[in-house]
Amino acid sequence: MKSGIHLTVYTAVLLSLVACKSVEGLRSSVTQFTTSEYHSSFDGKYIQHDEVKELQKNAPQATESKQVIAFSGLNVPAEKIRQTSLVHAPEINAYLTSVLDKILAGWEGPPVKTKVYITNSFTFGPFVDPVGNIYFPLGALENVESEDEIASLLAHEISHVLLQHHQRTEVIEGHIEQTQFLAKTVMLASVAKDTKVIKNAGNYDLDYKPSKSGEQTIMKSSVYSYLISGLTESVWNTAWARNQEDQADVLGLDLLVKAGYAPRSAGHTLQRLSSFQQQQDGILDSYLSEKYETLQTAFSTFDLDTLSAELETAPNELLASSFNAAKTFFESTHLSPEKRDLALRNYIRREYQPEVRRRPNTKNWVEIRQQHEDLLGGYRYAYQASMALADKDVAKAEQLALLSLNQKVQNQPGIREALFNVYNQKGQRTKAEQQLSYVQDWTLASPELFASAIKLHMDKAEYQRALDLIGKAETSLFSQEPFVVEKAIALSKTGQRDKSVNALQNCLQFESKKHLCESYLKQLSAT
Amino acid sequence: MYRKSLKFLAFICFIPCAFATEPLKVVEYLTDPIEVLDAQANFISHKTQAELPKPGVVVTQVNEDLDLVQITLADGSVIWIDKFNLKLNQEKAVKLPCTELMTSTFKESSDGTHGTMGFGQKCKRD
Repeated sequence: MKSGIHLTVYTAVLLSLVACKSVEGLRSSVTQFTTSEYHSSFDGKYIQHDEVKELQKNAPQATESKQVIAFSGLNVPAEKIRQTSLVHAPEINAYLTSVLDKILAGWEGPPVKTKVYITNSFTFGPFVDPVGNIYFPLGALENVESEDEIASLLAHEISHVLLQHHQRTEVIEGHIEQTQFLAKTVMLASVAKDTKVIKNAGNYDLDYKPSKSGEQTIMKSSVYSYLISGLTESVWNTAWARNQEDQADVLGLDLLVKAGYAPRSAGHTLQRLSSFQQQQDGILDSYLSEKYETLQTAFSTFDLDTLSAELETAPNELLASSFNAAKTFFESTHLSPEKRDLALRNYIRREYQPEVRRRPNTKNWVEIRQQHEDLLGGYRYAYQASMALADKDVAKAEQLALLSLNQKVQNQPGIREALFNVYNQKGQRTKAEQQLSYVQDWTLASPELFASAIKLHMDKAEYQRALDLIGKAETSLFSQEPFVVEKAIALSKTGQRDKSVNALQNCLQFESKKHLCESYLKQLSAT
Repeated sequence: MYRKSLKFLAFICFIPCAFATEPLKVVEYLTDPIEVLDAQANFISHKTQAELPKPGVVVTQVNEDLDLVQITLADGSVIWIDKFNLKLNQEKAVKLPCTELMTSTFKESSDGTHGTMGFGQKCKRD
């Protein structure tokens, strides 16, 4: 009976995997990214174009407060939530918001609901999520040299929202979904493996008994998660269909100039993006391969492969195709920012001849950056610690992680996550767990750190604390999807059976976890 | 104070090595004719591409604030051109923390010179 239940659970996890979209068609989708001169398809400024005017008049998803959002509802699909932790830097945030406000002042449509967050990621490209949150990576803050460049990056991202671009092509949606889901599968499989339905005082409940067997694999896998999430984020969350990218380029440029900034700064950011992509190639290749190997081991540890005969595609095959897709996509799009830069310069010459003379303001931002060198430096060390850890140099990782501690950042989740991973890798579990207790604001944590902390609480039968953290994760990630299974288990373990069943029913809307929750619900109703 | 200086040094050291090895060159003139400016970015005249040195010409001076480069013509005279109208072999770049980092804040090599972390190897992996 016990093995029967486990078999169902494993199968449910695997079925979730095969529910992911196929990677067929990647190469054809990649060709869409070869940018042409989009502005030659219309006369005048794009912001005065009929299709933009139409969007300004008819905001189909306006909220009650008449604010535009790009996605109806607040349940952001799990594959679209941010993957890294947020950085608490109120002064820099206020500065970025003031720049964004200047940009948005040029939009003649309904007010736009959006917010800027700084992410603990040393990638270069910001991205915008389906509810209009703009995530601005530390890597961009480190590298831009003027307020105009910041404005250019923000103007481009907000243009995706204004142009209601969040319905991306199916192929890109498939890759985002598959890559993110695969990265999380080990943790989900671990929880599923250790959960069964038991009879308890006349009722049937979900019972969770953590085993030691998968622990090591999970920890090994999590070592790469910070880096891989950031890199994956930089590939898939910034991937748009050709027309969408071109449209955001020209509308972003129009808004940038309207706000008084130098149009040439748009080219500067594209040049930096190109530089970033070229430098990242080796790292991406290396870490994707290492992460792939680790996950492969994890799958084997959980014996998931033994069930693959029941499935159309073996999990390891899916894993391989997913990582190859990311690599192929990345390699195939190297030159695209360069072409976009040249196309934008032609558009600027056509529409903004007098404004070409404007020069970027290099003073404001550089001063602000200098004032926050402790904060930026702390995160830089934490990033380097993660790199050293992934490079299997634990001693160096520890030294770097300790260097990251300063008064500005020491209680921030991104910093403690680096130390948490270091001590876990050293086998110092108590010290690792201690790092979590230093985190002051959990709403800034990465999904990975949330997952580790929630699992630790559950393993210690601290279900109420797990529920508290799940609540914070739901709020700050704008999604109930990542921890809905853990929530159902924790609710069940705290005697809240009805709420647990509700959570499982709620879970049915999430494609990646539907089969697992369905299986629990069936077992609960059958008993 | 010492630590801050070292941090600043480390920051400076992020600058990609390519900048130190290859001279700045014009790869392509993006307009024809092209605007010739004075050192303060004021317009002087136009020159056709036929009147300019062939692409590959080395830049003799750069004014980062005004985004200008200076090149030398065949007759030995110099002109300033807006970078906006040029494609250069070195454009705006990013400095990733994984590039060579001075780490003497916590580790000195035996001869007292600054040690490096070796992240450069990882980044150079092609």
